[in-house]
Order: sequence, then structure tokens, then C-alpha cells
Amino acid sequence: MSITERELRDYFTGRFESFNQGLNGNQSLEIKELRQKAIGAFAKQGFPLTKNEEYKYTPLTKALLKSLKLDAPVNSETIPTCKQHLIPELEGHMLVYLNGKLAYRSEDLPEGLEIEQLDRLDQTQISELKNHLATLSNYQSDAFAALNTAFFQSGSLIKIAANITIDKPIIIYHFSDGQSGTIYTQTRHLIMVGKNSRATLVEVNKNLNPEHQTFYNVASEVFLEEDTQLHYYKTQTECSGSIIVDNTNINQKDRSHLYCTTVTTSGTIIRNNLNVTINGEYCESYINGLYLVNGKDHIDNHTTVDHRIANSYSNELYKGIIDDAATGVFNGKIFVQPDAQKTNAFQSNKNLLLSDKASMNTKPQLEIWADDVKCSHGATTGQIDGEQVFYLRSRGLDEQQAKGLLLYAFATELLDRISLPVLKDYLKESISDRLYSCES
Amino acid sequence: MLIIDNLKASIEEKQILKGINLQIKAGEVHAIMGPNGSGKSTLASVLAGRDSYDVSDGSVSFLGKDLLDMTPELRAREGLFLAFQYPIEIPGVSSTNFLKAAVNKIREHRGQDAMDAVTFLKLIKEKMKLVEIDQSLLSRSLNDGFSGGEKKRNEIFQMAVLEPRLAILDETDSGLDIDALRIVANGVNTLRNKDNATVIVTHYQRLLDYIIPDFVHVLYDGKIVKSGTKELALELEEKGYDWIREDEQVTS
Ligand SMILES: Nc1ncnc2c1ncn2[C@@H]1O[C@H](COP(=O)(O)OP(=O)(O)O)[C@@H](O)[C@H]1O
Ligand SMILES: [Mg+2]
Repeated sequence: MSITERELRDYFTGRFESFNQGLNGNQSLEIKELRQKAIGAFAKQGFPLTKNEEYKYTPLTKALLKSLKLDAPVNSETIPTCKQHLIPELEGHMLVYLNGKLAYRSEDLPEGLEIEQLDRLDQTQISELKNHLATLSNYQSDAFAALNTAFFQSGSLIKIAANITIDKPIIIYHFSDGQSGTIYTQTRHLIMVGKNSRATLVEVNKNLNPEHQTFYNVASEVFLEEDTQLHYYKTQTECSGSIIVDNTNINQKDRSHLYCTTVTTSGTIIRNNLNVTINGEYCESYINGLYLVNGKDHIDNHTTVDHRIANSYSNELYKGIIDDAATGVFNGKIFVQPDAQKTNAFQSNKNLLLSDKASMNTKPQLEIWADDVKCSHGATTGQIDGEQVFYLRSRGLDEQQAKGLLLYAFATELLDRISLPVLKDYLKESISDRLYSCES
Repeated sequence: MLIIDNLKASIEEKQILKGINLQIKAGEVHAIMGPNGSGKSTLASVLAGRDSYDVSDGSVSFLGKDLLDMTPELRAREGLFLAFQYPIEIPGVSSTNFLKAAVNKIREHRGQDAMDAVTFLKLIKEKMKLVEIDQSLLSRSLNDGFSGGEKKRNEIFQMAVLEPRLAILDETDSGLDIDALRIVANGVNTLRNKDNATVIVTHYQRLLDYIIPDFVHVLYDGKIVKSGTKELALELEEKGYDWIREDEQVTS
């Protein structure tokens, strides 16, 4: 039986007081106040309905109301051996969250890398984070970010010192395997890359129990200091049955380089809000996304690149292959503020629809207030090129193989940019079976 | 090998081929000439199985089988090869992977085992030498960013690797300089044997100085209006297509 938006909202606001009281001894005043503000913002906004411009094409709330059960236990139904769900051979400093709780973490971190549990920080540590924690978060404007900020119970503080290269990737797994209707909100990460340092971060989201619908609401804030380099990968490849909202906010200072790639191949509804603020000169941001969706899955990527300072460069490429009755949404905002002269900002969104019922809503949104800039955007939605298919078939390849080859080529343009060979191969392999068996 | 009988085809309601009759035997080289727009590429495309054309009448038998009944890939596996007038660019698809897939599909069709990587590489090297194509072209995506001449040469290279029974070269000579022309012709002549046949579609007689045809046909307004030996090509070169046109009017 479905619930109403009001009931769902009340469920959260009603629980807040006792939740916040319960944490009392363990949290600082700052955090307590932050949570108060966030729940206020949430109560005011409520869950976004499709009349909300930002959620116009993504009936997220409707899906939540249909699938959530407010009394579903959060505990594991199966006792999973998380190990078998890790990406094979991908070595790194691992954090494994199961149903929103930390289940495993690597010991022996290298010099310069500090990982703390965000919910276990003491008063002094929190005070030190005053200028960072929740300062990038969009909780005033996004109900899910607000919900996460009010209720976050787990998550990590990942702090990389200055002048250091962390060789192995930091890998965060988000697994869920609970009963249908379970709500795992509220995992939150704060990532700080110190001056002149380099790191690679991988976030992997998987629903281990795909028949079961779960809601996962994660938020991250990422601070790139001067002269940093961050490779940031997000994979949502085994998320059937999941409703995921990911709010990621990244702040870049002078000469920092960001390489961010999000790969999605399944999910009941996935909404990624990726907001990059370029707060420095000579920054570079490469923001890529690949989504391959089928069945009735729905993937929505909302990105914002906000150029606030002069002389920086951003390049965004999102590509999608949408099959069956699946839906894709892409909204790409680029802001070039008055001070951001000599900005170069590019955006491209390319989609292939494989069936009549597949749909794609794409909306580039450029707002430019500086005059000396180079900006461009382009969006295409089409079918596989019949001429290309014919050419390949005329050499003896069958139709499915020809289309598979073309789809694979379309998709791997993005995967080839991934700098971690193990991850790249894993993703390529995981999409190839599927693309070579597309029926259309 | 190939018997075309009264073939009629149209595209978007417009009739292009108006009753083609042609017979090609193993070991022969035929040239099809004709002015622009006369239907040469249409004929080549219909034979290769491009599905944008409607065949309204006629039949085509290839090695004793009904060609028009086959999918494009089946035609290729049976030994038909079309060198495209405008080869398609396919970014992201590696030339060698694609060719290896094609070779193995054809081998599978013939009941042969898949070719292993080493043998395939050897084959590729040998054929590369034949058409003097550079390794660097093959390490790129299929035809992606190739010049006109490079694309044409790549078509002949593919032909050399796939060793078809019947190859149709659609204007492979256009856009080639004289050196490239000689290389292409040399490739075709080397591959020529008593079991295969070649159709050269062109509207210049230039290429025919290097590949000597057994028969020359003139395609005009969707029909073969004249057939002869290589002297016909020279006559066409000299007198132009107007001569055919007048002739056509006299006979019709
Ligand atoms: N896709 C198409 N749609 C409509 N007409 C076409 C198409 N392709 C070819 N044609 C027409 O068919 C005729 C024959 O073209 P084609 O076979 O390419 O001639 P050729 O190769 O002899 O120059 C021309 O009149 C051309 O305009
Ligand atoms: Mg032509």
C-alpha cells in the first residue's frame, strides 16, 4: 500500500527530535545546529514533486511513496560476504558500508591519508571542520541533501595532507541488501585534498538484493585545494531495485584538476546531482558520465559547473544508451560569473535510443555573465546509424554483432578515459555482454 | 557465378533500375560504365543488400542461390564483396578487431575453425604489403578521419583479406592519384584467379588501362544499353556518353 508525501515527510520530521536527542552525547553543538537547520529546510521543501522544475522529468517521490515501507527493518536479511561483491583485483584503501553502516575498513593507511568516521568525530575535530562541513551542501535547495544533512549517521572524513600522492585509490563501497521498502538514508562523506596533492577516489554502489527496493541517499562534499589532482569515479552498475540520490558538491581552488566519471548501468531511479564550483584560476574539470539503462530504469544526471573565477577550463561529456522503456534525463548547467573572464566551458550530451519506448530528456542550461569566454554545448539524441550497421554487415558481421560493436564503441569513448586500468577493464567487461546482446 | 535477370529497383517510390540483365562467370572481369546518376551504385547496393531499396521485379542468382533472399551478412559470407563508393567512417571501432570478426564469421560459415591471432596477423601483414597500406592506418578506428584515397585503399585491403568470390568495386578509382591507382590495380590483378570474378564500376576508362576487363557494359538510365569488349570503353572515352544517348534514342 502506498503512503502519501505528507506521511513520508512527517515520518522524517517526526523522528528527528528523538533522533537528534539520542545522538546528544556524541555530537558537537555545531553539528546539532546544522541538523536543526537542515530538518527545517527539509520540512519547508518536502519531497520534490514533478511540478518542481528540478524534478520535472524524474518522479522520484512517487517511486519512494510506492516502494517505501516505513516499518521495514534496516537490518540485513542475508548475511552477505561483502568480499565477493568487491570489484575484483581493484586494490586500494577500502571503506565498505553495508546498509549505511561501516562494515569494513582497511588498516595501515599510508602517510598523509587520514580516514575518520564522520559520526565519531570529537568536538575539536568538528571545530576544525567548521569551514568545510556542510558548507558546500545544497541542503537549502534540495530536499534529499537536507534529509541527509539532518540525519547522517555514518560516513567518512577523508583527509589528504599537502604535497603527497596517494598511489592506491581510496574505494568506498555502498552495499545494501535489506528488505523491500528499506530506507538507508544518510551516508555522508567529506573529502579534503590538501595543497599540491593527488588522489584517486572510487565510489561503488550496489544493491546486493535486486528484487528488493531500497532507498539510498548519499551526499559528499569534496574540497580541492590549490594544485591538486583528483580522479573521482562513481559506479552504479548493479543497482537494480535501488532508488539512489547522490548529492556531490565539489569545490576547486587555483590550478586544481578534477577528473570525474559517473557510470550507471541499472537502478529503479537514480538521481545524481553533481555540482562543481570553480573557485580558482587555471582549474581544469573533466566531467564525464555514461549511462546504459534498460527495462523501466530511470537515470537522471543533473550537473552544475559554476565558473566563479577567471581563466579556468571545464569540459563535460555525458553519453547514454537507452533501451526498452527506460528513461534518461540530463540537465547540465554552466554558470560563468561576471569575474570568470577567459573561461572555456564545453558541454556535450549524446544519446542513443534503442527502442520506441525509450526516452531521453536533455536540457543544457548556459548562463553567462562574462563577455570574454568560450562556451559551447551540444546535445544529440538519435538511433544507431543504419549506414554504419550496413557497412559492418556487408563484411559478414551479423546485425546484432554490428550493433554491439557500434554501441560498445560509443560507450567506451568515455571508459577509455578512466585512468585506473583495473576499473576500466571491469567496466568495459560489464557493459560488453549487455551491448552485444541488445535486441533492437 | 552471378545471373541478374530483369532486375528492377526503386528508392522512395522513384524507379532507378529498370530491368537489368547481366551474367558474370568465374574468372571474368566486367566493367560497368555510365554517366552520373545512371544507377551504378544502386545496382551495387541492391546486390550487397542495402535495405533502403525496394526490388519490385527480377531475380539474382549468385553461385546458384537466390541472392535477394539473403541478409547482407549472408551475402558476404557466401563470397560477395562491395567496395563502397563512399566508405563509412566508424569511430571507436578498431580496424583490426572488425576485420578479424569478419574473417572469422566467413570462416565459420564455411565450416572452418576461427583463425588464431598469430595466423591472422600474418595474413594482415601479407595483404598490407600487397596494397601498400600503412600499419598506422590499421591501428586507427575504421576509416575514421581517413582521406578519400586512404578509404579506397582500405576497401581494397579488406577485399584482399576477405578473398571474396565476387568483388564489386564502386568507383574505387575516383579520388586516387596515378600511383594509388596502380597499387589498387595491382592488388586486384594479383588476387584475380579462375574461381573469382570482379565488377569494376567506373565512369572513367583510366582504371581499365591497368585492369583489363573481359566485358564492358554501359548503364544508362537504369538499363544496360550496350555491352562489348574493352574497345567499348575507349570508344566511350573518345565520344562521351552523349554518343550513347543519341544511340539510345535511335534504338528506342
Ligand atoms: N537515397 C536516395 N534517395 C533518393 N534518390 C536516390 C537515393 N540514392 C540515389 N538516388 C537517385 O538514384 C539515381 C541513381 O543514383 P546512383 O545509383 O548513385 O547513380 P550512379 O552511381 O550511377 O552515379 C540518381 O538519380 C540519384 O539521385
Ligand atoms: Mg555511384
